[in-house]
Amino acid sequence: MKKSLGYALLAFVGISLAFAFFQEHRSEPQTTQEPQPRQAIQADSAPQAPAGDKSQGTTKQAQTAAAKPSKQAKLAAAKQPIPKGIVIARYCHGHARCSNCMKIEQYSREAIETGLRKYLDSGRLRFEVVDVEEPANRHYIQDYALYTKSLVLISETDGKELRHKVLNDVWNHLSDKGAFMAYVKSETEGFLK
Amino acid sequence: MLDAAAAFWLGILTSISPCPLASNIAALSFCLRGGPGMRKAGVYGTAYSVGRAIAYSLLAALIVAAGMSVPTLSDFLQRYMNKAIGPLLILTGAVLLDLLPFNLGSWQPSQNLATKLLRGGAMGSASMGFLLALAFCPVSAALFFGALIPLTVKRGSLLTLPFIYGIATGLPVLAFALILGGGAAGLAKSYEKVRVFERWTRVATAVVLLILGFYFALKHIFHVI
Repeated sequence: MKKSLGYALLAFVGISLAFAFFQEHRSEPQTTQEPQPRQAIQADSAPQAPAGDKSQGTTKQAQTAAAKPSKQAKLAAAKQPIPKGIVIARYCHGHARCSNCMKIEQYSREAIETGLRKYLDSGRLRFEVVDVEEPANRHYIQDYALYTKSLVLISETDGKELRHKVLNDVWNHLSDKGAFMAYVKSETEGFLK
Repeated sequence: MLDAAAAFWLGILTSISPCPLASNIAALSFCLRGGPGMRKAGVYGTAYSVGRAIAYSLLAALIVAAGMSVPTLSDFLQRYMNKAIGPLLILTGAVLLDLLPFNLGSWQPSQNLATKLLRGGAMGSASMGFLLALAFCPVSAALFFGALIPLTVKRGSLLTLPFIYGIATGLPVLAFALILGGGAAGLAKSYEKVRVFERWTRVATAVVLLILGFYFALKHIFHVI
């Protein structure tokens, strides 16, 4: 009995290590990867931004929250003009999600969707959620010098990044939702000017 | 003085945040593996805190003195150490329960050393503290890389502030180890009872470590939690 339990534990450890190794090996960045279209949250049924930029690989959360548009809505959205200069509020997280990380995402989304709705509707602002442990998104860690889960504001024109700012203070306002929302709103508004 | 207080407070904030709860429970049960007794729990708890302090000082030295990139280091530790902790805790629990089903033959001395490290001794607790400190969660990464390292760089205090921070991150574990170790000692007055307590605390520690090992593996390797 004792021996079998020992073997079972060792087998689990072996499988875990092999799985972790396989995951790492599988998730090595592909240098010849085809660019994928960006999926993100703008306003409801918002237009899709041009394909081929860095923000491919947006997470499932972002996709589901984007309230899947119908075919007609997609066509209508595609006809809308895409603004030249846009601001992206990009929440960067990893595979494992802790309660605080989900809280940051939820508050950020709420701050932007409620406080800055007019910018979302006009297409000037977009909220994205990306998993930086996905191979296609790993470059964000170096691009924005990230050391933990972070909300980053990025100003782009014609798909090219002009500047960015990591809102590190989201961690300081986590216990006060009002202060958190005000901080994200004022920082984003400042970035939109 | 103010900087030392700030580093201490950051350490306390790190230890009481919800995300290192699982590793704190693992550490607490590991510090109690020696059985009842405030002295034993105190020595193991202090060794655990010192192990953490050494890990943070080493990281600060790598960043400040060796110029290692913070994003690279943080990404590496958050990705790989959390994956390593699960199997490590399972193996530790298995050693404590004498479940390893093989004889290491000519490796016997190293097996003895490993067993000694895991079953008793302050070195085992310090090693556990060192490893658990390197398994960063988002909150501890934000506080260490985002608040403590800038403070360390600003004050040029390469080792002192990270060491104070590390000691503070281990304090709640030390405090609870003292309370539980002392409480158990109060209950087990006779030699016979102490022996029984020792046996059961070791089993309880091993079971807690196994459960937490599975938790870490399922969360950070298989992503099912």
